[in-house]
Amino acid sequence: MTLKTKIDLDEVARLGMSRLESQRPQILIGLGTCGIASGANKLMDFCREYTAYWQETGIQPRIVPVGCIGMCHAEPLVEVKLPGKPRVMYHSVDTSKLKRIIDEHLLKGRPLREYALGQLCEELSECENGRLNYTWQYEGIPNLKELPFLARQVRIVLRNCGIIDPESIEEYIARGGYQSAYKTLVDLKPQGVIDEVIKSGLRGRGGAGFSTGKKWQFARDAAADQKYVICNADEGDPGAYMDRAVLESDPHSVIEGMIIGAYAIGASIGYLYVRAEYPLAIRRLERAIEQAREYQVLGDQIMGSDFSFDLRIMEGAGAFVCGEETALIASIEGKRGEPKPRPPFPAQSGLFGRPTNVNNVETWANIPMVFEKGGRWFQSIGTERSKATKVFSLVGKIERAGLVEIPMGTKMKDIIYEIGGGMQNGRMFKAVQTGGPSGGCIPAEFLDVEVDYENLQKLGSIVGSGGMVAMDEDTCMVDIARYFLEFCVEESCGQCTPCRMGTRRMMEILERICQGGGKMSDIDILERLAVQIRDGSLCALGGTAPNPVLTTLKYFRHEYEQHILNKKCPASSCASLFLTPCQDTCPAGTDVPGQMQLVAEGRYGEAYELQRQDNPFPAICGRVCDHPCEKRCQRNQMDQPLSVMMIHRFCADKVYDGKGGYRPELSRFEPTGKKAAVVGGGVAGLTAAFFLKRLGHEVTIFESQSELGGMLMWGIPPYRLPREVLQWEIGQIVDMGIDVRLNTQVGRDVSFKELRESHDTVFLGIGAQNDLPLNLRNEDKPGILNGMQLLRQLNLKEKVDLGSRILIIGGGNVSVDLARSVLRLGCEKVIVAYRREEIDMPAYPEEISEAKKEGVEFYFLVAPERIIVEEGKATGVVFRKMKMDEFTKWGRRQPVPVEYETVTIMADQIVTAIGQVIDLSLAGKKAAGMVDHRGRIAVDSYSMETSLPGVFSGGDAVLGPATVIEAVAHGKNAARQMDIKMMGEDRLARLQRMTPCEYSMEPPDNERVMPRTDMLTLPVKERVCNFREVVLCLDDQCAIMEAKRCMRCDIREDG
Amino acid sequence: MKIIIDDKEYACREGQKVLDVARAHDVDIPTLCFNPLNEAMRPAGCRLCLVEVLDGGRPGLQSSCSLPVSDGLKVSTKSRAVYDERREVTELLLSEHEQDCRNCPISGECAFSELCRDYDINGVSVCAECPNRKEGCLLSRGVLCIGPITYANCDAFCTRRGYPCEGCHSVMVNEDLLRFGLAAFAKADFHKEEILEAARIFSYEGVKVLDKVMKQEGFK
Repeated sequence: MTLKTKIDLDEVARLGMSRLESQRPQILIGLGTCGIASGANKLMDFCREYTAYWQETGIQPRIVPVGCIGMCHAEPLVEVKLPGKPRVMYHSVDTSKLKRIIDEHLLKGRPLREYALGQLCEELSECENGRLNYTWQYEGIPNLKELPFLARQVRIVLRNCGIIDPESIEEYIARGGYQSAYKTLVDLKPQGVIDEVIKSGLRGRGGAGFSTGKKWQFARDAAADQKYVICNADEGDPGAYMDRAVLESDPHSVIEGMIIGAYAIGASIGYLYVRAEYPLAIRRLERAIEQAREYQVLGDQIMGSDFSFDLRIMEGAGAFVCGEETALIASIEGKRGEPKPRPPFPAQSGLFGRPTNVNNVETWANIPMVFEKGGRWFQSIGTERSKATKVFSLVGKIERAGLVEIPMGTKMKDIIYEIGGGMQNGRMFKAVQTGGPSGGCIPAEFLDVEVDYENLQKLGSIVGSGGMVAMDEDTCMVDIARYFLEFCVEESCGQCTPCRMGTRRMMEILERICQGGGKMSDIDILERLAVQIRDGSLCALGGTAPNPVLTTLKYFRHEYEQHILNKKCPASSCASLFLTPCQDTCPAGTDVPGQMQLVAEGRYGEAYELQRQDNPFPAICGRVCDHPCEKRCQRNQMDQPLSVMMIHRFCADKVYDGKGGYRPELSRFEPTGKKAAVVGGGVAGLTAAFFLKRLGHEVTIFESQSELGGMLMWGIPPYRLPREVLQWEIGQIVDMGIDVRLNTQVGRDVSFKELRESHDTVFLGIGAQNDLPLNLRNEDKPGILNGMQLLRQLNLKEKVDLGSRILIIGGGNVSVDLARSVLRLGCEKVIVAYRREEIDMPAYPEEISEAKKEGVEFYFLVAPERIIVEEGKATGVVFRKMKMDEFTKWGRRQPVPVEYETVTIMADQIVTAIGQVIDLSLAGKKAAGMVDHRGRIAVDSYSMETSLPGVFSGGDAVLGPATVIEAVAHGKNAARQMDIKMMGEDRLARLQRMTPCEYSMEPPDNERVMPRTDMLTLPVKERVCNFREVVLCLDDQCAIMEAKRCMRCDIREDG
Repeated sequence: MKIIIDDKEYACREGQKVLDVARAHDVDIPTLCFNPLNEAMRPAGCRLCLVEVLDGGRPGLQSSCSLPVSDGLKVSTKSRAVYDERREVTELLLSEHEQDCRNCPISGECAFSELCRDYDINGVSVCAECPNRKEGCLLSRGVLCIGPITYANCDAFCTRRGYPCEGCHSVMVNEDLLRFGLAAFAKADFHKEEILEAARIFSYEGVKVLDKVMKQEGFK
């Protein structure tokens, strides 16, 4: 049959519609490459087999392969459609599920709600013809259009993807296909076609974004006997596959676009350059071309006009550089795929020296819609300079990966968080890489950028073909730059010097940095090389190859510096820079696997001392650490992370009880005769003193309070950290021979100047203990207390009269500690009010859940607005209700006030605990120069030295309120740097290697799923009326079992 | 039709490239991949003939061998951007160069060592500029010539005239380059101290590195 008139087209459309809306029940299976990869072929075979003998029953289902709808995270997808009813889409289907689906839905008409993703009751795309809308809907199944993944999409290019059978031209025509081609061939002059495309504002979707209409105009204006159009389907970017999806799911849309383009330019032959790695796309294209020839949509005098056009498929061998148009043309000509200098542009002299127009798959697929709905409609979507939509392939460590088609100008954060659903496993977002190896990395701070050609270019990246790789905090940016550069090194055609050699040299430098052999001058060389390669290369491959390096250098320079200066990979990704992820993540560098092995061997005393090599507080960290190591535990990929903290606690308790067995002596150096002063006997100060003493220096601690311990003593209640344990562990440090001056305030009892003169170095570990104010009126009225102050009073066992109803404002550890403490003192009702949601609370989750069990009440999403004062005393607080607004660029939702909605909470006592700041009264006016804009002591982040020579600082005074382990790390690093300053060499590493601990280095055999041993707690009844320790210690058997779960990442094959 | 190269006007014909015009008027533009015997082959790959387009075309660096002339086209062959890019290209080429100048058949007429001189890259030895071929080499005739470990740029003044090189341009300080150079001494029968003494006349820093490399290589 030949399509010659509108009537013919309509007839075929009716035929197609009768298939889309068949009178027989249908099973539609998503058979793109992505679906096949996740097992859709098996489902297809199963369906055929299962329904083969159903003729007698009278039900003959149609089994239809469809393309890919773009939801790669839910593959394989199967849809069931009963006549006249909407399609229901099932996700992650396997054969047993499919059997149930067929039995229940297809035969009995009852859709399986638990497997269903949604129902297609509303048209997803912008198509005019053959729209799939249903007034009748299944109950209890969401509308597909309203799923977060699809809700914000505007589907123009992907209009038929996943909807029609890609091997059926009739279904394509039923959805309005080839109407545009017919219209242009009959109604429009070639120049009119070009004018309409220019009016639409369509720009090339292959990456550079050149105006498609103008490009056509150049090719049309060039005089020649023969012209060509080419479709560039040499999609080679890692992580980009939108072209493949279009070719596999809707090949006719590309063919139709090429017919229109060829007519406008005057070309009679078109080439489809498809890479050979896409066999399915090639097969479907061949089938589509065959069908088009049958209907005389391709061939001589097509569709009743006197215009002739035919298509040929060229298979590319997969060279990345053949995506460049001149290289692609050379490849079609049968030459080596190498770019040629432009000018001459292909529009003047292209394929076989004739004028040629090359466009990307996505550009061609857009063309039919330009003519179906008009250029004016087309250019009404998108931004000022970038029109309509762009398909992105959203991949990486994102929750919902897949193909998304969004209008230009959509914000990046909406793509990542609303469509993509944020990062997997709730990790922090770090960067998004757009445009493949030619693009760049965009960091979190630019997440509210509106995605279009110009904006991404401003950030140093490009839209490119549309790859979008989301990366989380576990991704090392230096490694990413190295990876993409490696790709360019391999794919460089080798013609021009800067690209061939420059990229190789850059990669060598990056490899060196990743292996810890980098120098600071390497960064300058990288920057210089990058600019020279960009400016001097022959084609766009070299011109854009340095982009990943340039953008990561621009936005993640600190990571390069960490690799070079500290020989540390912040993401624990560069394998040669660390031994195990847990040890690398621990700020203090605790040897976790070693300790686990020692515990498994029953050598608890040695395990305790092994930890003390890096951290003087094993018993304390075993109770109050925020254990960042457990988040990175490799065991998490198998079952659950190791209970590292509980093992720390277990070893320490064994030693405390005197049952630890053999305890080796800690290594120490001979006395050096140098003197060091430590101001503040908190965690950072004690750690610094501990290491300085071991390094052989004379140490004096100046503490203004009556006891050592700082925040451990005054800020942590005894039910979390029993006083005797604390004093025992501090005692071990002091017993090493450290001079302690209690009740001595520097600035009052000893002058700071005197201190500096009488000691070689000074460490300031003065902490951050003053409460942040709420900044509300009446805050100074009686009835309001500061959290930190109250906690100190309680821990000092001072008598405080609190009443029976307490309101605590704030969501940190201080407020939860306070709440649980006052509950133990007999308060009847304790309320904690916080302005965000529970997951946003900075307090440790274990503490929050224990507090809830004990009866503490939590109010979320309330922000204090006004303090109620009655008879001169504060008696309550009026809170403004908050709601969580859209995502900020940090991946957290921002609370915003709800209009006219307040909550009033009355209380006998109000406590504010919204954060702490440093108290800098010690050094008088001189201190002012050392403090940064946030009221913290400013130090060099590598040497920990302040602006005063010989004065070092660390802990909360530098960080603001932070964790115990971070303070330990600061104290340790400061001691090391103070030692380098005094002795001129780095001796700490030598000290730690002095007494090596021998333990088994046999790889463990523990690859069975075994859940972690959870923390044991006292029953609520036994603990709420006293200050007994809540968390119990593991027994020997549990501890050894838990320790044996360690996978020993420190044992490497290469030794 | 006229184009402007470095502020001077030159007449040209349609179809010519900027490089052709420059060559016809003795304007110096270096090339390595352009083959004058095969005019049609212009891969534009070496990127040494880059010029900066200032007016009348797409601005930026472009290879002159492939840039067609157009009326009023204004280019510069001496701008900072051009110099930097050519220097970088030369340095990159050198980074993968064999550096065995003594056994190179082109010895003495080396376009590449001239480039290194023009763009001030210290990386080639006197041998690159020395015209004495294998048989004529002073070292193989038993004369102590330290040309293989000395920086070039003197156009091999002494060795051209039959005198041994005394290293007045200083001994190289790059360990790799020294290692390449020392290979030349392997066959000749010189004591380690003899070479060091010859090197000491004009060099200080280089001798320290040389000593270190000799030790590493087990030179006697």
